[in-house]
Amino acid sequence: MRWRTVLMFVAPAFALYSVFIVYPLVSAMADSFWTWEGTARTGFAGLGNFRSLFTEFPLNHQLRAAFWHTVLFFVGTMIVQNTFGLLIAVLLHEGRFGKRFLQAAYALPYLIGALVVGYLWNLLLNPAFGPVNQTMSNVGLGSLTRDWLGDPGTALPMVILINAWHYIGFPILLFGAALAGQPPEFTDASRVDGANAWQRFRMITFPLLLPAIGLVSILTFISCFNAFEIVYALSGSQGNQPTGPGGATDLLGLIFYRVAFQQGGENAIGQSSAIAVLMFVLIFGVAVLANWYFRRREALLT
Amino acid sequence: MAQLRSYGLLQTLIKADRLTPLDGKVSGLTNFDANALAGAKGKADGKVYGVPLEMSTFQVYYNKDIFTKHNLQPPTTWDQMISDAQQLKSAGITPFAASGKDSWLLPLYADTFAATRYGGPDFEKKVLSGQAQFTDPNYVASLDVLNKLKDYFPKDMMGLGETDVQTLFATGKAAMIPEGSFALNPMLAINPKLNLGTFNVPAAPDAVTDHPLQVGWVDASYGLNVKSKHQKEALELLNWMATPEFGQLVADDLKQVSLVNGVTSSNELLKQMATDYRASPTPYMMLVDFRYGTPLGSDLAATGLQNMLLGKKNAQGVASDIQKGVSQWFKPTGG
Repeated sequence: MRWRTVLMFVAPAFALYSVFIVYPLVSAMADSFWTWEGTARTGFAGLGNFRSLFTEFPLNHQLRAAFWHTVLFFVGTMIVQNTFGLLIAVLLHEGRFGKRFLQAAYALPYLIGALVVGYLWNLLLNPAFGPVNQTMSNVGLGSLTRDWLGDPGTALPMVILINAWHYIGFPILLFGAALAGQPPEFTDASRVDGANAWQRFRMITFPLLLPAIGLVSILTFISCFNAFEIVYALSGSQGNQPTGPGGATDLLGLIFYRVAFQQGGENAIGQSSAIAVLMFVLIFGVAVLANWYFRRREALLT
Repeated sequence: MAQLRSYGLLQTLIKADRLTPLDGKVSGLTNFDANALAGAKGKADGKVYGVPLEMSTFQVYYNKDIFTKHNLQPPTTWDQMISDAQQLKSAGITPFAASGKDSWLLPLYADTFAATRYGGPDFEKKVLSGQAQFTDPNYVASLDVLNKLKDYFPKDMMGLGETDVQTLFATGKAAMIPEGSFALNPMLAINPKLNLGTFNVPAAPDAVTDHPLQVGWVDASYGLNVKSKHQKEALELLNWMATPEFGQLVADDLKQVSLVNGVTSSNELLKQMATDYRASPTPYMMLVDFRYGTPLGSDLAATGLQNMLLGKKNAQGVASDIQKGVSQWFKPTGG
């Protein structure tokens, strides 16, 4: 009787999860071990698809470059989100004036799709018609104007900043909630003990925020390694050419998209599935490890 | 029925037996030249699987009003083209509105400005038969031609997409633009008063071919799903699409270059492109011949040329990357 009730409650979620998550995951994994001609499966490939990722020129070069770009993209985004995000969250928590309004304002870009954000920034930063360079020239900063997204030196940093700008509302909300959840007794007690604001933050508030910082970092990692739309909207994607000037903003997610849909290769399904499986293993593995690490740090606190 | 991609990118559908071969079933196929049907053929069986809708040509458009104002004529020699460009640049007008961001255009620019340098279709034959490779000094030198023209392209070309440069040209900020026949309508949509002329680039310095060449390739064609229950009706429609009547509609209403023999466009520019292509054609080689395997030749060339224009690679390096990438699947016929 009790088991039947449990089953009844679990079954709908389990069915949905199986159909929409487990099945695609397993089938993509299976696809990666076969050779394809268009949509027809032609033979068992073993690890052939995976090997081709590391031997086929120029895909092997592109994957290596894109991996490091993705790492930089993640590190850059994480640094901006965990510093500015935390700073703004603390200021909002401490401050009284316009808190609601500012919270909403910071969260607003988060509600816009990444493709839209990318497209808007693309227009703003356009070297011929965009207002950013025009405004800079008008206020006498003409010498600093650049082809922001067309210069290999500035393209990736710009993408990182835009991505961080887009998602900054999320860490602010998370940090805000964590700050609001901290019992005021701790900081009150340290205040009585004579700690100044910086000491209170460093010794009390910050350690208690570690779980939130861990969570933000892991979620940032997952979203950065899966990132696609923002770069696609900012730099476009053509055939199987690395994205951005000289391939400067090429990320793993874009390589997957190109191999799967753009390049028109015969074995597109097999090869792109292999990329997807490797990305999944990497993201899953790192996320599990990071989660374990932050849990342990958390346990040490209590 | 389905609109098909051309040349190499069509082959997956053919290999998977998804299309009905049209030989003997669409009598109007005789209205096309062999060149015109090449884009819709199966590489392995040589059968025709599509009725070509139109072709694309690529050339330089120029703004007649700007040329008149600066007392310029469309160039008949390379030196004249360069001195015109220099004069325009000194006057604060971008000579060529070229995009570096939409890098798929770069191999087309290379063929448009410098197919003469490597010898156009003659070199194509040599490469296909294995008598020449992309590392051939003439081919390397042809890639390098873009490097020499870089000064006359927009300074921020890597941040400018195709629509951006079309806008620069259509609004009179640039005097010339290398573009396709398919861009005629979009550019006139930006500025209907645009007074346009076109020319094919004069032979580049040390060119193998001494006269201008018209770059062109077959784009879309229409094919028939093998599983369709209405084969007879579809074949009738395809037959009509191969008639001069339909071709004339493509030329006049869609403003595209029709491939049906006997069709002449009422638009002077399109008529010129079609005539030039029949007189001295050169293929967009990376699309026509080097999309039968991955990596695609067009992708390798686009990536390499972008790096070259950014100063990260020289023409020699670009050429050897193309050769290295393509030779992973390309087997010359001559062995």
